[in-house]
Amino acid sequence: MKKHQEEAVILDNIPIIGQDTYRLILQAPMIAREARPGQFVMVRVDKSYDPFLRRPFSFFRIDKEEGIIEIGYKVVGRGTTLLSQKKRGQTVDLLGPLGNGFRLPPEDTSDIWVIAGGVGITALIPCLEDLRIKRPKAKRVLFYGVKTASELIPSSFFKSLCHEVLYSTDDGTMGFRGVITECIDYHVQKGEKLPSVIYACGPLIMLKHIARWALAHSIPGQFCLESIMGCGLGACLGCAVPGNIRHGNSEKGYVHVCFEGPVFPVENIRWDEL
Amino acid sequence: MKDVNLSVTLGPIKLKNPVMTASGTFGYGREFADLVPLEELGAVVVKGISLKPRPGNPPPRIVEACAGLINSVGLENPGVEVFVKDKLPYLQKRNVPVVVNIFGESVEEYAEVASILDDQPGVIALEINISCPNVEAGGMVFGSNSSTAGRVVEAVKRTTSKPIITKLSPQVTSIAEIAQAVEQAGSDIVACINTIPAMAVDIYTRTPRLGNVIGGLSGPAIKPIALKCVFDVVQAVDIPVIGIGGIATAEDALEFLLVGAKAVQVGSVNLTNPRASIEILEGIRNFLIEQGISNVEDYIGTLKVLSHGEN
Repeated sequence: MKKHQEEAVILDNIPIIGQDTYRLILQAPMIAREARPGQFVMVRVDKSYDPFLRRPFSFFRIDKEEGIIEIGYKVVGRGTTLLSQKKRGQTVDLLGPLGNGFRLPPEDTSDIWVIAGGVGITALIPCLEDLRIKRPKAKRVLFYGVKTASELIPSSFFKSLCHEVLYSTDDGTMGFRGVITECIDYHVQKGEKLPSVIYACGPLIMLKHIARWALAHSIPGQFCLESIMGCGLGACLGCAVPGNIRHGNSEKGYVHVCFEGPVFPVENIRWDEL
Repeated sequence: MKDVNLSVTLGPIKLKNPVMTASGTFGYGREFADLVPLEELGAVVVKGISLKPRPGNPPPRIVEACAGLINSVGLENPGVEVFVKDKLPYLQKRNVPVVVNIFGESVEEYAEVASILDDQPGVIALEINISCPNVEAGGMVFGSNSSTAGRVVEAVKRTTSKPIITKLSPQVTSIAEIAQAVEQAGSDIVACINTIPAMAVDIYTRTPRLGNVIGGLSGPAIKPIALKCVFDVVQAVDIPVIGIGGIATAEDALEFLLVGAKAVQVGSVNLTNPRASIEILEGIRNFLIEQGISNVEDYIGTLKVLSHGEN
């Protein structure tokens, strides 16, 4: 896989939910050709050096034939605010595809749970597409949790990709009332069969809970992590998180979200130290 | 004029051009190989290497600042043995001139790392890091005092035949004095500056933004400070000076050459624009052509400083 720096034309940059979560559609043929679900691009949001660093975003859609990629993002700070102001027809400097994508589960996998919190759903949609094509016999259940129903992305993005969608909202405006981990507990207690594998992406606190649960039940899982990043290339080592890769004579090593992730097997992260 | 001579001589080493990459911002070169023709650079300065592997500092390790960033990576590296076995061969095979940045927790450790690298082909120089603000032992502890700085240089000099570059911290009373001390101790070249000690805090959580609490500021924000340090050091020593600090464009690089740096290192901007080093090299070439200067060395150190009254 070759990394490219590409000046991508913005085909559209529009709110997908409410006024603060956007989809950015980009003509980026070189990156699209090599991109895989779970990988990411580093976006330079401004030509100036303030903000100085690029911002990492997972692929939300990859269309190799059309040479189009899409990312989903929530406006949370200065970088994403600047990005949200970009207009159709303008260009944006991209670096990618970067990192390792989601790995497929074994051929005979019967039940897959895909667990998405908030804007984390955007990284999991191409993963679900891939699973549908390459593991068509597996039952795919999507757990999708947000604070309130108005934060859900339209179901047209994922409805056809899974057999069942189980919603949870903190305020009960859609599906289960409570956080996503409580929703999972509820369904397990109700007798839902435990999955053979899980895929998860969402806020750190959610990932920590899901990880603890998966480890306790010995369910293999692939977790897509976020981090502040410097380069995205494995050069600056700024995106380290506590991980279980032995590092020389030291027990307490770190793994790096950009090049050893952003997708990690659940057992490779020391979740309690995150 | 068709082309210009970009080669520069820094004491015992000759570079095909004055543009190098700065340690810690360019990995071990390979990370940028898809984007940058590595062999076209003056040299690649690799991430700091110590005797034993170091896991680095706890996260968060970087935080963005105005036109720059603060890092507290803490010299994470696989140790010199793994470096020689797994990282260096790639650059050697591609004939990329390599400068290895070395680091120790004691004077002896610096010397030992240097001796292990002594017979490595392709390593054109060792850069002694006595200026990292992110580690408890070693680093800036050595670089903030003339006599300890000199001791490290002497010890390394005894164990290696490679040319030595000593990388200095700006966080000292007089960087010129430290530069003179390392020159006297036998350093062939000095490089300045390393990052400037800095910190950032979160007013809501009331916690530091870096796992290590303090870190080092780099990026365009520090350029004017770096330029002044280079200016001071160039006046103070006879050995060649490499300019580092916030260089993001060819104009920035030319400013350092103008005040007397024989070469420059391009650092943090590699994160923002991975092709910055090569674009800077092109920009320098174009500038010299425009100016009708056929040899880059004819431009280096030509700053006109008028003394008071001449204005």
